[in-house]
Amino acid sequence: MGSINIDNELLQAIIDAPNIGLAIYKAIRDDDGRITDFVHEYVNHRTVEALGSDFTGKLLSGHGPDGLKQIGLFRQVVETQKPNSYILEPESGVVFGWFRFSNALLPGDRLVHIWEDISDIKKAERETTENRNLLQAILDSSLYVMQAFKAVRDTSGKIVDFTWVFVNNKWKELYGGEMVGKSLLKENPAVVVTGLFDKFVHVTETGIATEFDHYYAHEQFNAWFHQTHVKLGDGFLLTAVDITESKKAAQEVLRLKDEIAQAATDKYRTLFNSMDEGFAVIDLILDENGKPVDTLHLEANPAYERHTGLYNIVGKRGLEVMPSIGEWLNFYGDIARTGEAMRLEYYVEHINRWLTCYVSRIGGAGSLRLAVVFNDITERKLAEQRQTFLLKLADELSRLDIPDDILTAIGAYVGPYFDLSTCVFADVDLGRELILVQQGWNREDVPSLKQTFRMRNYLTEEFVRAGRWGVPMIIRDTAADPRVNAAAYARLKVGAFVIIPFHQAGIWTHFFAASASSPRNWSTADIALFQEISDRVFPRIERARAEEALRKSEQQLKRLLIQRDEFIGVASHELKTPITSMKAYAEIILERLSEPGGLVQPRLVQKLDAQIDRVSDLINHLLDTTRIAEGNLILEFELLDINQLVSERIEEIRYTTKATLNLTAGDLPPVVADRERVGQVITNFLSNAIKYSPKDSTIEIVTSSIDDGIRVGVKDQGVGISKADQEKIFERFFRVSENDMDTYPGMGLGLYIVDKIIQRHHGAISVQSELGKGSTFSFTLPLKQ
Amino acid sequence: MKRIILVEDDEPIRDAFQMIFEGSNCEVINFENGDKVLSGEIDAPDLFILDKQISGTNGLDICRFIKASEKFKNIPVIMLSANPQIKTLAKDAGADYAISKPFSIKTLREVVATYVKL
Repeated sequence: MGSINIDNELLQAIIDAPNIGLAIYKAIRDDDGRITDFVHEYVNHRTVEALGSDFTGKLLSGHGPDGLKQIGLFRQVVETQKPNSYILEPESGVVFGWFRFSNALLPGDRLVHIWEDISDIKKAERETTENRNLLQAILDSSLYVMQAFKAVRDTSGKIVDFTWVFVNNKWKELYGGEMVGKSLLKENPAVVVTGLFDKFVHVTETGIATEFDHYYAHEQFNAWFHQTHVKLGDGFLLTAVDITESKKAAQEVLRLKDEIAQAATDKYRTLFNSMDEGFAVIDLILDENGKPVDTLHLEANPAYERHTGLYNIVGKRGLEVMPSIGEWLNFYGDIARTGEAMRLEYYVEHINRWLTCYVSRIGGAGSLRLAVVFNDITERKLAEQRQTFLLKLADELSRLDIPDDILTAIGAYVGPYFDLSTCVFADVDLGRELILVQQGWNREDVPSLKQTFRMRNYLTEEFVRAGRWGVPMIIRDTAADPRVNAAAYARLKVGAFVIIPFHQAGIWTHFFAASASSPRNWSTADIALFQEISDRVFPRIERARAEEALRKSEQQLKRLLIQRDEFIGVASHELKTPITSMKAYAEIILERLSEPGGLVQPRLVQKLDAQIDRVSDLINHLLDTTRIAEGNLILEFELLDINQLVSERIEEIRYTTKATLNLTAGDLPPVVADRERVGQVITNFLSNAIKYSPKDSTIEIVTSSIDDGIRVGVKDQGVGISKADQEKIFERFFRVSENDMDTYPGMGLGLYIVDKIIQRHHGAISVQSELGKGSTFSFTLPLKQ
Repeated sequence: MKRIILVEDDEPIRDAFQMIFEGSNCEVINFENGDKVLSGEIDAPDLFILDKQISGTNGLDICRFIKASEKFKNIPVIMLSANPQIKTLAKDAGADYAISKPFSIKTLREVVATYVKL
């Protein structure tokens, strides 16, 4: 270092120029020579600036605690004559921050005090420390194992090893021990064999970070790690995380996924292969105009093949296996285009089945892949048809009344429905072993079966037994079945038949038989339906037959009644003709014998005349009864004085009897009535009273006026009528008691007729009587008709 | 002498009529059927007595013929029948009276007397 002359001004400038504080102090000693304080001898501009005023000449102790602290440090320099340096954070409150102080001895008990503000450095230092702590905390708190390595190079610069420079807490926690400074190859020589060492070298040399999963097979553990390697200085940072669990989980998931997928596939396959629905996946093939022209079968289950009759179809073109697919292409095309699934129901004639076809698009718009599901709905269809058939049958049954008509109609309906050659409703006569077929239907090309068959010629003992038990007899081929006489059935042109026996009260009385002219494999459904027909038709027929029989017997009865009434009418008319002349003759005789000088007692002829009258009355009663039965009782109404009519009838009868007839006539208004018929009623009452009374008894006749009419009563002292008989005496042909038949002759018609006569007049007849105490018969008539 | 024409197919009744009016001032002319009446070849009597049910033409039809013919329409007709409805039937046919068979000869004489003004 050279030396130059520096004048005071220049020195002053040098001292004031930098941002460094400079001050010169002189020690102040007491009498014993001990330093007690320092005085500011010089302060530079920076110091004045920092302190806010010029302290030249002032004591250091004037700076408070900072000053006192400085006095000790200054004294040390002066007494030891060695410079010192220290860092302080002043407490004075005048200056803030960290400061570095340097003190050196000057001659004359003085020292130079240089200071600089190092607050920024201090702050940076602190921040660095804090950051490092933070980083350490972060690294330590990581779940990842972190290790930093530094390369160890040989003289040629080749990496021959790594040493640990850092491990985080996670590492320590897991593996323990302090690794920093140790050799990787010594601690873990296996890294060479596993290829890890080369990877470490690679990242260190190239700076290209790597990342991979690695499986470690250690003595202590077997584990998977996911590790990353990032270049760090001349080394690398390795972070690793144990992923054994997640690896296992992932593997398990994968395994499960495979298993589930396998299971699902198996299930799908099982379902696919075993379901009744035919299932196929097809691709639609379009031409250049987008028009469907063919299909390609990708998958098809056995049911599909069964339903469609198309076998080994997978991988084949639709047109190749089913030329008729053309009809389907537009249907498929619509579904592929719209994505709208559709169902089609159709009948396949050659397999005699009803199918539904449900087609839906697989995948979104534009997909040409279709799922086709076929379902055999034949059973359902048959059930529907069966239901319809039975309804129609019930309709036919209810529509007709006459058995023959019903059977003819049913036969004509059933025969074609089942494609039969004949169907008959037969009567079975088990006693004579005959089968009588009176009703049935036959196709035109086969003979009618309407005839009488000898059971044994057509049915074996086994079948007769089946019939008795009500078991259907089913023959699918009469030519081949040993149970039937092939020749007998061949003559009838019956190739196959079903007989459904019908029992009444436990006895085989009828059967329904359906036959086909050629062998027929009767289905269970056919037979069930035949059974149903039999069960429905025969009871209906029986009822109709019973109704018909009843109708016939009713008609016959009616006819008999008419005949009887006609006969009575004719007979009585015919009887009257001779009686007319007999009576005339008798009266002529009577007149002539009554003449003076007559030879025969007139009394005898009177008796003859009376008997003729009686016959005549009986005939009239018969005739009246017939009229009433025929509804031909004709009345001729006129205004009548009933008292006068009663008197006339009393007078007429009086001379024929010894009984006393007393009339008590009330004040009566005239009534509208038939003179003859009402007179007949009065006479009937009178003659009954006389007939059933002692010969000289008294008969009281009372006429009276009642509300809206009149009443005539005839009271006798006769035998009377029991309560039970009173209800019946107005019935036709009723006679009081069989024992009295001889005593009181008559046909039991009189009261029946008078009751009808009064009814026709809208009046009423009544009787009051007690056995042995006489009877009172009375009738009423309304004033107007 | 009053003339009564009786149309009656039963011979005993015709016979009885002869006896009933024997000795009276009525002469009974008997016909078995209505042919003579319907032909109009007989002289008009004072009274017709017609049986309802006779062979050939029905007595009621003969009555209707009589009541419709110029020659006989004012001559009374008595219908005679075993039919209990004869009164109504006779009235419908235009007869003046009806007598049921059998009848009492007293009644017959009274009715005839009424119509022939004996």
